Amino acid sequence: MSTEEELLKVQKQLQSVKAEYEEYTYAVSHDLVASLRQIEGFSKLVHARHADQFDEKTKRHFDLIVSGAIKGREILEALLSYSRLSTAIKPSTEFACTQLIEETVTQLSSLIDKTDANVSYGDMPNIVGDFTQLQQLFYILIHNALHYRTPECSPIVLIDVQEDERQWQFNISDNGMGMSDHLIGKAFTILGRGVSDKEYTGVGMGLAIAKSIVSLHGGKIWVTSEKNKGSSFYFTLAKDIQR
Amino acid sequence: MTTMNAKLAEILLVEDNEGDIELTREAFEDAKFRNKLYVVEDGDQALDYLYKRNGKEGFATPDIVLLDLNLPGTNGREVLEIIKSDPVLKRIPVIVMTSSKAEKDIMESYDLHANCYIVKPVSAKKFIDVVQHVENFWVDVVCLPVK
Repeated sequence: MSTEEELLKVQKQLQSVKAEYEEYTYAVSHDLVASLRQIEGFSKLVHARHADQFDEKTKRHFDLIVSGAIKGREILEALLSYSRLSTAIKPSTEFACTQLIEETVTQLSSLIDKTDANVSYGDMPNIVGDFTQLQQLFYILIHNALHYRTPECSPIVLIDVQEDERQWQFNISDNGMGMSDHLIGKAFTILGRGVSDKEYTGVGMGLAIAKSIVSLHGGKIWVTSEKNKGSSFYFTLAKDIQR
Repeated sequence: MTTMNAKLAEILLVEDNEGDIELTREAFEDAKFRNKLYVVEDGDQALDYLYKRNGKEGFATPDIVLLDLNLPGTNGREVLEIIKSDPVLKRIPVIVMTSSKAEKDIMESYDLHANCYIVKPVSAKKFIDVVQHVENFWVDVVCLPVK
């Protein structure tokens, strides 16, 4: 078999594994989400109809059934969103980054109002990539900057960009709760969380998804942070994107 | 409830899952010895508690620690390692309670000197049974170090 034929064979095998993986992920997550939704839905129904007959302990148990099912569904949806990233890449387009940020800020407007936050940015370039994925990236980073705030002060979020001939380097910084050094190394892991759910809700998938999106756009992501002072997330996006 | 034992067991539960906290509380409510259960929800709070710092100065050193492995922030493995490397804290029995059946987690926990490793049962009734067995053994049967 020639080298070319071997290469074609391997490519074919890879395609078939990819297709199988997509089908498997879809089937498993769809069925699991359906089961969790069933638990959540019927528990709420029983609670609505019969809560007046429950004692305190039973009420707590019911709340735990509902919150457990919701959490499971959220984790599964986040894992599904993560697994879809590499299989659902759209062709790159060129667009104004200002438009992307404006749309993201609009999506987050209720959280911005609630926290009395200030999100500011200067001149932004036209960039190249998958608009939906890059919007998800900005959403995750800006949302985190607002969500992981300190109780004492309103969030201040600054978005900045620099460029050289090969890439853009973005910086999204905040005055939030920050991270201690040993948490920085774990920040981008799948389902990794720096704080408990009680303090700050979340499933621990945002930064893993952010990392994957940046990597699919030929870039790198990293963070500098100081506990109780704030965090600065940096990421690069390649200008000449090869996928 | 059976006859109250005079002993007061102070137990630190390091657990972030609300359901497991609730079940553990219930197991202790029905325990045959007097107990005080303190709950912290992540590894950093557990260390603050054990080292009596960051607002947790007033708390008693626990007789036993029930430790989950997958915790936000500093995880259970790191907490276990810190406890067992400390000349004083290392005497406290640490019972690892986790949903992981992975051999790697079991080996690693014993390598880090966990006093025992328990896989959380899925059934709520069994979960309460197991917690009660653990407590009876570690509080009633075992001689604990003097604090």
